[in-house]
Amino acid sequence: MINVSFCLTTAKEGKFQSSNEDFFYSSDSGLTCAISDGANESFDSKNWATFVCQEFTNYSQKKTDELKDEDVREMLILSRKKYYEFYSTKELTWSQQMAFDRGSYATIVAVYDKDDFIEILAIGDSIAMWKENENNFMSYKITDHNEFKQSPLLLSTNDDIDDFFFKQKNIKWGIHKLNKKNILNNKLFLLTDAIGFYALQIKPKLFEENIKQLSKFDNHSYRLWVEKMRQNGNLRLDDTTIVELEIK
Amino acid sequence: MPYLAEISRSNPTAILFLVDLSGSMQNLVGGQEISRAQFLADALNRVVANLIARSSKAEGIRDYFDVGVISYSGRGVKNPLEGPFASKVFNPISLFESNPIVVEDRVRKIPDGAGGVIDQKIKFPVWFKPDSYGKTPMRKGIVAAAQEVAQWCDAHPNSYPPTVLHVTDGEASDGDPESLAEQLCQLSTNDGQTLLFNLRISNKSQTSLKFPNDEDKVGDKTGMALYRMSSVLPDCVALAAKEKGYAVEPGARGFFYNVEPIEIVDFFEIGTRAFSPSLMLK
Repeated sequence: MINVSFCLTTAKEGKFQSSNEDFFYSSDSGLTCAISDGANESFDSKNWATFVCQEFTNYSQKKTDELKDEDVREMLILSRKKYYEFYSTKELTWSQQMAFDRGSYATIVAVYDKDDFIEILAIGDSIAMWKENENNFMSYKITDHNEFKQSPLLLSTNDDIDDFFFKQKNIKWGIHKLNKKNILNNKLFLLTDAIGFYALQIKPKLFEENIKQLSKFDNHSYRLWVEKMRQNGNLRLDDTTIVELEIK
Repeated sequence: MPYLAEISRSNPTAILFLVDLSGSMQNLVGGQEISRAQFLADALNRVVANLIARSSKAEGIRDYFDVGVISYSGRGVKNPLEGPFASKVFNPISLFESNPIVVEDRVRKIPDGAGGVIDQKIKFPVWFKPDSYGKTPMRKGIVAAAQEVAQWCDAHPNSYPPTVLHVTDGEASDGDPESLAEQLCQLSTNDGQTLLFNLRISNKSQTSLKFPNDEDKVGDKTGMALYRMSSVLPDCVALAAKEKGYAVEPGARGFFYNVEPIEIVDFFEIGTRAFSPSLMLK
């Protein structure tokens, strides 16, 4: 069972909170959830991130066996179907059409409860973090903050790079099986890239202190905390989301 | 750390096209029936359309870019754009989106997936019309660019610095522009100095250079001066150049020399590809 302990998010630009393109979704069954970070330079990554989260969680809660490539492909097709249905009735200007044709892009980190273990699907530069022992945090799929400097491979509304995408499994994206016994205190965190970079860069103890502090926050106090961290140069300017899950 | 500022609506960046519209730009592009000036106009219109597409969201345009054009020719140094763009050089990208002179229907060839090609209709917005006349007052053009860039930097101290993309096909007719280019590059925001990238068009069968890192490779006096006038590529632009398939060595400069007009397109695309982790197409 996956319970959401907290979900805190704030937009890249404080005065444009509605522009936040990060999205978190938890299924009613409590068996799946996902976070997605829509790329800024996309026509409608906000809706794309939403559809991706919904389809990558709702589809998989019906399945008890391990995730396969064909499941990922199917979930991607379902997400695109929703996206294209959404735009099928809308009239676009020439510039919107150009942007629409360029596509929308998003990351995903989805967590699937499979009884004794969980599966983490990670595509792009959003990450999952947990502790296996008192000393260190583990993370997936990115494990070192320097990896954030590389261009991530994202989920796209266009299917023209699908062949390349699926060949990049275990290189640029992947599925990680994690025994629940190996999750210390049952806590798993989902982070988008700005705060993920920070979390992997600092000492585990400091991140733990941050978590304690954040667990008492609402979105407003979180926003103030993020703004202060940005001013101090600790967080880069981007939509910034962190979710704490309790895995039982 | 320079060239790391996030590009946002609160902190946009500026792109200035500095273009030579002297008489020699009437020359036809090798093997084709269009002039260098027409090729330049098409490339400029195309890159502005791409900037608009990059800034277009479902809910509207986000003003990530201020864009301007300064031309120099026998008609003097001026902002060649008309209508709502005429009153000032730098205008927000949203103004371009809402005010093309015309949106032409053009046809492009695309692969049909079976070894052939098919025609695809595309919309081609136009803001900038080709022109060419007289001499090459490059120095005056650079001075006008510097005046605009200085004002822009004062108004946007925390932004990614302006990028000036200069296209010419000849030598300056009003003296040595090097010292003025140096002054232009000294104008800065808190994120770094203004970037000046230079491209020289030529149809001659001379060795062409793209992003060189060694003045000695250039070989002639005019080229060496243009090389020295060009900024060293910051990491973000070097990455964009590498992604386009160019070999970029450390210390490479934003300089294309003796290139075919068709390469203006790549030059513009890379020059406007100000990399920012939050803006780049991941």
